[in-house]
Formats: sequence, C-alpha cells, structure tokens
Amino acid sequence: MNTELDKNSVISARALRKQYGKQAALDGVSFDIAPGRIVGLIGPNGSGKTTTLKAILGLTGFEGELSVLGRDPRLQRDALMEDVCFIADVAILPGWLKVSDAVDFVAGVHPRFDRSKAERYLALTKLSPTMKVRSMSKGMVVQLHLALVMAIDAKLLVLDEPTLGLDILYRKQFYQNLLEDYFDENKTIVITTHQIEEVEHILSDLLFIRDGRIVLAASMEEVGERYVEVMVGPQQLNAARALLPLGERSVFGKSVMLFDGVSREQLALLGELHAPSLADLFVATMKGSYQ
Amino acid sequence: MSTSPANKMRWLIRRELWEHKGMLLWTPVLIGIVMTVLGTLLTAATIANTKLKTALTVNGEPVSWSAIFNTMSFAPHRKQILETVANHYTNVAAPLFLALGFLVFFYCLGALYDDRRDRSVLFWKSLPVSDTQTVLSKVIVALLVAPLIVLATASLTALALLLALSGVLAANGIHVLGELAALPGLYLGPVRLFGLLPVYCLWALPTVGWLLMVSGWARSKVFIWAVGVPLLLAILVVWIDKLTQEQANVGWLQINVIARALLGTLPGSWYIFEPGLSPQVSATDHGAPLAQLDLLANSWSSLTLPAAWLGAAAGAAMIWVAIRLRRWREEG
Repeated sequence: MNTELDKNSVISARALRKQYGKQAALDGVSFDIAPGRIVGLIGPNGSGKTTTLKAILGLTGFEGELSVLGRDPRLQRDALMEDVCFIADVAILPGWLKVSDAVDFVAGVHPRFDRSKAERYLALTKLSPTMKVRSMSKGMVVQLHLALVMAIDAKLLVLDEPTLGLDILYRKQFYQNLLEDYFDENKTIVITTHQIEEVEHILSDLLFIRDGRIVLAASMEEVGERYVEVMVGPQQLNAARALLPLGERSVFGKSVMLFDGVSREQLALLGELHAPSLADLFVATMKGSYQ
Repeated sequence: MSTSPANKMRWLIRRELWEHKGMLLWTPVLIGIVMTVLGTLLTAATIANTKLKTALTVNGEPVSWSAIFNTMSFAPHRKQILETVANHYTNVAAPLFLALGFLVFFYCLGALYDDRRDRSVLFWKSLPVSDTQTVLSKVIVALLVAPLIVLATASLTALALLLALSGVLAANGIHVLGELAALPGLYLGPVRLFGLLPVYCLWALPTVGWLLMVSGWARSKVFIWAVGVPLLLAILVVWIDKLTQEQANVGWLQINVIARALLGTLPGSWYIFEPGLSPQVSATDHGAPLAQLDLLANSWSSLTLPAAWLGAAAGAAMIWVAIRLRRWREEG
C-alpha cells in the first residue's frame, strides 16, 4: 500500500501505531475506506478494533497518519464531530436524562440533527417524552440512542458493537432501519461486531484485523471471488491439501476446505463448491489468534 | 435554531441543571423553606414568651413591651433598631451561604467524573461540542449559576423571615413594616449580596480549578484524591520542617495552598485566607452603633491583594489542565 494518504477516501490510515505498555494495540495499521461503503471492521478480542475506532474518532493518541473526512482527528476533533457520529460499545446514556431533554439537547448543539426524524423514530417505540433513562430497559436505551443518532445527517457513522446486549428482534430491526432509512450513497458506515452473521448481508467491504494489523481488506465481491469452500470427498483429500487450504473442518464425515485464490475450475474437480460464510472465513483467517 | 457557540453554551448549562437539579436548585430552596418556617415559629414562640413577662411595672400597672416600643421617647432607639435590622437582615441567610460552599465543592468534584464513571462521556463526546466548551460550562455553573440560585434563595428567605417577624410583631401591636419598607437598607441588602459575586468568583477559582482537575483525572475515589493530596502535602511539609528545624513553611502552606485548594468555594473564604482584611473592632468601642462592617467594600478591597489574582491564575491554569484531561484521558 502506498504511504501517501488518499484524499478521496473517507478514512485513510497509514502505519497507525499505538502501544499500551508493552502491548502493541496497533502495529502498523493501514487502510482506506471509500465514500458510500458499509465496512465491517472485524477481529477477535484484543485485536485492535476498538483502538482503531478510537483513533478515527479522535479519542486516543497514536503514531502514524490518519485522515478522516480530510481532517486529522487528533487536531480537528471538534470540527470533525459535526460530520461524524458514533455509538461506542460502552456508551450509556446517563440515568437522569429525559427523552424530551435528550432530543432538545442534541437539537440544540448539532447542526445536522433532524428533530422531526428523531421524533418519528421515537414514535415507533414505547418511549414517552417524560421517561428517564434510569427507568428504561437496556433495549429502550439503545432505541433512544439510535433514534438520536439516526436523525443526524452524518457523513460517517461509526458503530462499535451497536447491538451488544440486545435481543434478536431489536438487532434485526436495527440493521433493517440502518439500511432502509439511514444509509445512502453519501454516507459511510463502519461497524465492528462479533455477530458477523448478522452484518454479513449488509456489508460492502471487509477489514479483518488481527494483532494490531490488517490481515484482509477487500470488498465483498472480491471476497466472493477469492475465497471458495469445497466439500472434499475422501479420495481427493491429499490432492486438495496439496493446494494449501486456508482451513479445514469436517462436516458429516466430509472435509470442508477453504481456499484463497485457487481457480474454481481446479477446485471443481475436488468436490462441491460453496461461497464461504464470513464466520467461516473469519475462523480460518484468525486461526491461532489466542495461542 | 442556531448552533452558535453561545447557544451551545446555553444548552450545556441547561444540561448541567437537568443533571444537578436536586443539588443546585432544590437543596437551597428546601433549606430556605425550612429556615423560613423554623424562623417564623421561633419568633412567634419567643414573642409569646416575652409577652407573658411584663417589661416594666409602673405604679403597680404592668406595661407591655409593645407599649414601650410605641412610645415617643423610645422613637430614637426604635429607629436605630429598625435600621440595624434593615441593614443586616440578609445575614440570617448565612446557613445558605455555608451550603453554597458545600454545593459547589461537590458539584465540581463530580463534574468531570460522574459521566466517566457511568461511561456516558462517550455519548457527550459524540456530539459536536468541544471539550473546552464542556469544561467551561461546568465552571460557569460552579461560579455563576449555583451562586446566583443561592443568592436569590438567600434574598427571598431573608425577606420572608423579615416579613414573618413584622407579622408576628404586628399581631402583638408593634407595627414596623411601613417604617422598614421606607428604609433603603431593606432593598440594598440583596443588591450588596449580589455585588459580592465577582469577589466570590475570583477567590473560589483556585478551589474550582483544583476540584475540576482532580475530577477529570481520577479513575475512582475523587474525594480521597481531592482532599488527600493536599493533606499529604501538609504532612510532608511538617515532616520536612521537623527535619530542617524550620517552622515557617507550615502555616504559609496551610493557608495559601491547602486551604485555598479546598475551602475557596465557601463565600467569605477570603477572610479565612487573609485575616488582615477584617477590620479591627475594639472591644472598648461601646458607643459605636453595632460595629459597621461594610462587607461589600471590604470584600472588594481584597481584590487589591496579589494573592487573589495569583490564586485565580492558578485556578485558571488548573481549568486548562482539566480541559486537556477531558480531551485526552482515555476511557474504557
């Protein structure tokens, strides 16, 4: 990857480094995110996901070069926050906050907040204007937070485990709203999550991060072309292993192997071809992470 | 609605009031109400008690206090008493000013800590509000909004108590309300109180700065840090003094560093830090009509002391550190 920051990218990172004590949280992270994409930043615990997001949001210092919407988040965070919105995994709304006050406050300080849109979202929930966060369930708090955030016309939305702790109904609803009501070609969304199967179908790009390094950066189309899963019969096992599969697991006595960049014609001779799920791709890529 | 910096500041201050309504508004109001009710009852009880005893017995006839108070010959004394009351009635609000010291202290201690503890800081940081604006909104609440609420409550409480006193007296045949209302002191009292606010701000600034800095820095146990560090410093200096057999440093440090870091939010703290400020009242001055300490002018004169401005500068520097901490302290 070239070392110049890409001016056309929404986010352009070059050789980001960050140490926590002796542990390198970021060990030379470089990537570009183009406008109008939905990018999944995916990695195991402690891989540097959250630190990367914090760097993007100007919440942490780091070495290296980083441009977010043309600005350096270390120096121009205040201006950046007019165009960037985020939900941090641990962000909680304070207990004393009333629904109506929350809407008033964001409307008062955010130039890109659409009050009527927030009220429309809130009307779809059980939240009433006088309700305080203290008396809400976890799901309701997230609903309020999302109603506020989705009413902000931000150019970049960063979501760090946005659905953590929510039940499946809320999670489905959330991603549906995100795609149908929020996302458009002028917006860019970066999501981290452990629930890979839930975001699989909405992502346009994938960034795998491991031990503070980006190990895979590709669009979903590229991923579909590069990675193929083959159900290999017992007779072809040795021939298949000779092609150096990324991973191998057995399902109902058959070996399922994941290949990176091997031609489909060649693989078709070994057995039945499948598109791998992101979860399987993730497991194969991150093998040995915790060793 | 515009999102100009001034408007953002207005919303930030409103946000502080939402969060601390109980502390900043209801505590002083409640104290004011309790004082008014207790004061009224106490006055009524005292006067009822006094009425039982006659003031004088003239030719075997009992003469009541009200009769004496209403006589012509008592008029000069009466005028003097009323003037003293009109000029000093706001002093009854002293408990509220003591409360203000505690309110501002604990407000500052939690100001940059509470939202880090409950982690909602990341929500506030996701909005286009700079850390400078956030911290300054808290300084404004500590130094202006909270004192103004207490000053208003104090003025109303003092007036209410004065009215209660007049009412109780009137019920006993002593009518003073009309005369009191004609005295300028009655109206100047609250004005003088509000006139002390700039002095208060300057002298409170070091404590506010120190507490905000600790509040923005400590990961837990803010109170222990805020109070413990100055105390440890004191112990350290005592120890050094013992070793070097010097005695000079302790007293200076206690007043100029430790007390100013912790006690500045108490109204009138400048009399603690600068004992030389209070005018010498001679005990033999019996003739003087109640030693007239002009609190307002005297307090303002404290601003000629370099210590006031050095402390304020130190306070401002610590607020600057608090802003940097708010910007760069990592959460989670």
